[in-house]
Amino acid sequence: MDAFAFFVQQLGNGFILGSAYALVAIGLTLVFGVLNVINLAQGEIFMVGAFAGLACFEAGFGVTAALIAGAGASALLGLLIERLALRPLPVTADPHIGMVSTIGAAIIIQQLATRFLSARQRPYPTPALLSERVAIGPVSVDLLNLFILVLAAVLTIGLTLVVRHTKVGVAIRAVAESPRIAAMMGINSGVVVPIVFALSSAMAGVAGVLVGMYFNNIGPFIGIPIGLKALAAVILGGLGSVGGAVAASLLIGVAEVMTVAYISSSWRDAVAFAIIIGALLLRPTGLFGSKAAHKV
Amino acid sequence: MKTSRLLRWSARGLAAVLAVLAGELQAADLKIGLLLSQTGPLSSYGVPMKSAAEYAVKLINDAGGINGNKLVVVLEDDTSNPSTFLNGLNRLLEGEKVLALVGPITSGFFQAGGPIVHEAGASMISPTATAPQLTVGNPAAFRNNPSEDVNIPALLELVKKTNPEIRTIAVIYDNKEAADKVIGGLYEKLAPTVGWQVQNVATFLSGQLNYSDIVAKTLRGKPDVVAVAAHAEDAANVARELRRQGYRNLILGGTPTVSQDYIKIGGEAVNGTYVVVPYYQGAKTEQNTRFVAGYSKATGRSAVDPWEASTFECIGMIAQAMRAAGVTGDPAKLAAERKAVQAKLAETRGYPGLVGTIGFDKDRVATKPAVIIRVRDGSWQAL
Amino acid sequence: MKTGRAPIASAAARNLRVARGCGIALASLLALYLAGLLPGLAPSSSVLPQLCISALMAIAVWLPFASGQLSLAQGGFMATGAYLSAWLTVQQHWPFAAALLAGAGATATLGLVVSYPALRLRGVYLAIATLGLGEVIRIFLLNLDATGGAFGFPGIPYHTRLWHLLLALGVTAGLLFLLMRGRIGRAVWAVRHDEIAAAALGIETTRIRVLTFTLGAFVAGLAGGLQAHYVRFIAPDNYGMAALIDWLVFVMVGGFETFVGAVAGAFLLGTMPELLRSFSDWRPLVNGVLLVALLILRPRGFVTRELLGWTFAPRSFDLPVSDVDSAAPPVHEPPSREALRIEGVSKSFGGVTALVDVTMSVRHGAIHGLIGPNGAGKTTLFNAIAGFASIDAGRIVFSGLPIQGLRPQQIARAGIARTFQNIRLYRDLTVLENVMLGGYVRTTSGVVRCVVGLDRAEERQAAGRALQLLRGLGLAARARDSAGALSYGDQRRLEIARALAAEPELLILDEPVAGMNDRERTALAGLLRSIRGDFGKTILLIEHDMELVMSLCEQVTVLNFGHAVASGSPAEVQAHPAVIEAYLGTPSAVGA
Repeated sequence: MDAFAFFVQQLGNGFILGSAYALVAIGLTLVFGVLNVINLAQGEIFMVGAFAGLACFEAGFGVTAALIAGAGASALLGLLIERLALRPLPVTADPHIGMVSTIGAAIIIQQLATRFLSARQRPYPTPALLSERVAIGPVSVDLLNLFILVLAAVLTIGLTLVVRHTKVGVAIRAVAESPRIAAMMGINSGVVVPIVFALSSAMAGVAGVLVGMYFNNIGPFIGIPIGLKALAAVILGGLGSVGGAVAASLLIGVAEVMTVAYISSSWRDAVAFAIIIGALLLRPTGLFGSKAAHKV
Repeated sequence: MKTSRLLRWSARGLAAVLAVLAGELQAADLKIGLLLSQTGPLSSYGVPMKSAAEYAVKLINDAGGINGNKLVVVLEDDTSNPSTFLNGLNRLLEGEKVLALVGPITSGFFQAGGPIVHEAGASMISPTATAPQLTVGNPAAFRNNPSEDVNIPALLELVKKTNPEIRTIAVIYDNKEAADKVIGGLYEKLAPTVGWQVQNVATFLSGQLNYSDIVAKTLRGKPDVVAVAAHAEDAANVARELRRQGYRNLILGGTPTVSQDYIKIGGEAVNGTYVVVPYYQGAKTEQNTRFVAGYSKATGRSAVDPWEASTFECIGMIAQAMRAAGVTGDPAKLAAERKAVQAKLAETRGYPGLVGTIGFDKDRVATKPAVIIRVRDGSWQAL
Repeated sequence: MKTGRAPIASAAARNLRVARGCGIALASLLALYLAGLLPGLAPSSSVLPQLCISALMAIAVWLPFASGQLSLAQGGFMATGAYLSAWLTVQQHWPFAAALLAGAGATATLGLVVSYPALRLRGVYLAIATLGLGEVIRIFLLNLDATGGAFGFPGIPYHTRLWHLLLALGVTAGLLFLLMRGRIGRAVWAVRHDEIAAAALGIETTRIRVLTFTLGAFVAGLAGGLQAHYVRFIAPDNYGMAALIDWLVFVMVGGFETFVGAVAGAFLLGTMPELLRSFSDWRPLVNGVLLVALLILRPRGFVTRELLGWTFAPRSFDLPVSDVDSAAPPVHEPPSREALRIEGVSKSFGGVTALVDVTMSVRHGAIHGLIGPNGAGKTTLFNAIAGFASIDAGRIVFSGLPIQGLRPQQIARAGIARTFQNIRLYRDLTVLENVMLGGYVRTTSGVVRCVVGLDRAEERQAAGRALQLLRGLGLAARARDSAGALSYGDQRRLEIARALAAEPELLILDEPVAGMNDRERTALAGLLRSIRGDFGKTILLIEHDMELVMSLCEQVTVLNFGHAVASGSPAEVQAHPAVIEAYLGTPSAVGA
């Protein structure tokens, strides 16, 4: 394969990896928007969604069912986390406390998963339909790759539209801006926050099924690196910015893959982080984050 | 008259008590410590290894124990955490006063614990650790995994003979796991000795899920054969990705690849993998046939992985050393008995292992016969 | 007025007693366990040393966090200290102490270098950037074959004994105690909780941040070196996410207000795995559940300053010998002197013009009002004077000294003190502590003096002056109450007291009577007059309350759309047509 085709193929791989990160990252940034809390259990939510999808496949169902199962199981888990690990905390608590509470939740989920789901990695089927290869320009890609890209794009755009134009979306943005004022307007953050959690977790669950199909493989510990990369993407993109999270996720995905392709795989994470550090130093509130305005 | 009867009964009672006590002292338990992860990422190795150890102990005790003493294993779960490991090790040595230890699973932990075991005068055999120089210079350190640089050349020769058209090789290995790094390095170094050109060497850090970029890089030059040195899960996924990207030839693997998981996860992709190993379940020796049958029946496990077999052997070798040293389990003689066991263990030659006889070389690395096996029709088979 | 206060207070007091009781019980249990006195649960010999190392790392994570920086690079710092000191003893045959200090010192230097770019980042952005740094260090070590790479670095000589660790921990704790109980500790708290107020009080936030960050790196490097020579084998993976999460949890659950919390967290949570051994399989699950439960029960962490009974004020203080009058500045400038002159100041933000060629003069010893409709630029002008905003053109001269472009801290030192529109008090600190913070620019004890305990005399004097100030403002009875518990009016007065503690020449107040009722407003007006009279201060204030302004101020300047449209006595200004137009609009104008 000549150099150009190789480059394009790696670029494509990078975009796909980035799309997976993006789906997880969007959820993270949404939750931060309304709760000011980084949900460090997002990676585990992703993992559970993947396993739910796997169970669906093994039961003989198809892709659609698996995606729905993944989304549903993760959404449920997200709601549980919000109810049990975050809501009981006082509003005035230091925001880092919420984050640590989600760490506790993540430990619990992972333990239960290792015990009840699987301690080893498990193979993940790819539906035959999506294994077909098509040629696009100089490279041939699986339909699966296209499917992932398209689905990720659809979900992202759909979510953005929901947040911008629906009543629910307005409510979410109101609570994100100021829960107190939103309450005075009659918006019940006790309803909005769980909705946001459910949405963000569902997206992570879908990402789990997609990643499972793409990597052909999942295990109870995949939540950790995925969660970390997604978090990095959220920060890099600017907290609370959905577009930023997506852009940063793609950037990280491409950077990782290019490092592997042209440097060495042992440095893949280091390069990704170095890019993040560099970008943050240039733009301290993230690429698309709002400048922290100090109202004096 | 009543008093004399009382005295007589008291004397009998006292004698009985003394006899029991003396008997207890005579039949003290001989303790072996087990340092195997029961929770955390390594638990999928540690849990079956514990079963294998307990099975070995059961067989020994059923056959009369060691010089009349019962053999007992005491387990410490290191939870795959270095601090917990250290505390557990110290507890086994100081609190339980074990005579020898089996474990830990990883070279990292083994190296952390080595000096401590040495200072306590005891012995530690790891069934699985393989970092180079692991046991060098530490008389308490033993490993039941032989050196790879003895076996790999044999595999290369065989493959060259049966596939003379091979000219180029690409190597992929896990840079994070000592065993895989060693094996990968050996493939890279030794391939030229059979006239193959090393086209590309790619490394990765285990724990990642995505191999498409590495495999793409590896296959770019269309090598004739690919060597993959990784643990079972990672190796299986690499194999599947290799097949997915169109590679149809042989895959050369390493010892850590050999397990049922490799086939379970890899499916059809792993057919045509060749490995040189010190153990595989289908070995047709009398020892192994008996072991596999008995172990399956006792534990319900139909698939026996190499690390379980290795653990079984380790217990057996320690038991033999204890027998030869004539240990009694008397706490007052702990230091001397530990030293004696260590000495006898180091002298192990011709121990009847599952696949052949085992002995320890001057660096306390096991020397044992190896066999070349391959995956064919979904199972590991001899050639 | 105080209804409901008593039952709530006693409920809080009861919670405190319960928490203290639990703390003592747990500490005793732990001591018994470590001494091997608990039947059936004997600790192995490596338990206490490893707890000490964990405690040191918890402190290393706590230190930057104490000034508001969550640094997740501490794992990488620990690795740096470990690898460097190990390499020195093994390859270069250095003696242990030298290698240890070299490792810790090099790590501290790395921390220092990193801390400057880190200043640009806040909150989770900083956390992720530092996490990235830690990972980069770890991956670098993984690929560094000279020290073993992924195989790890074996054969490190066994130098660390238990007494080394206890000594290191004890000395660190002792030094931190001495450092954090006085002026520097107050400053660190101030920077963490409100950076802007801290800057206005003259606290060099940059230096404080760099200090805690570098100290944290030093402790991490020290812990790394000590651990390397205890375990005798190190590998890059030991410094990864798993360990970092442990330390973070120690700090959060143990209590992040003081270093004691970090140590307590390390000891308690570090012992749990040992004590829970019988649960073996379920241990991590139990850990997770306990973590969440503890956080919900005590979200500020187990050990709080309240629990320990610590304050940033000394127990005893020296009241100033002389009486109230001589708290005034020694020399009275003649009343006609100019305190503040603003010449042709302009400022725009992007497309928005906030100030256009504003010129005004504030006479020394006057009470000068600055009024104008909302959005006229009053607060922008204040921020420019106080150093929080730069100006595009013009000069600001204070007592003959040009101050435009100076930083807030420099302005504070020059003798200008301010209050804020939204009250920036430290709600969790006491009234006395807040006022003592106000006196930051008038005290001088630095890190060295604090650490050797030479700051006590100055502290006592500062506390005495603060108390006297509170007496003058009628808040002395509330000195030990937390600032957040005060009524709104009292909080405003407290903020003024805090500003006065800096002994400024010029006091600038941003809407000092906003939200007050009649009685409070009259009282405050009287207070301001007495401040001007008794203390000889010049006062510049922004206000919307016209009655107050007209009755209190001798001079008034009116801003409208960034222009100074009128300046003079209240009567002159009230009659000025431009002012009338600004507030009421001209009859023909459709929208003003």
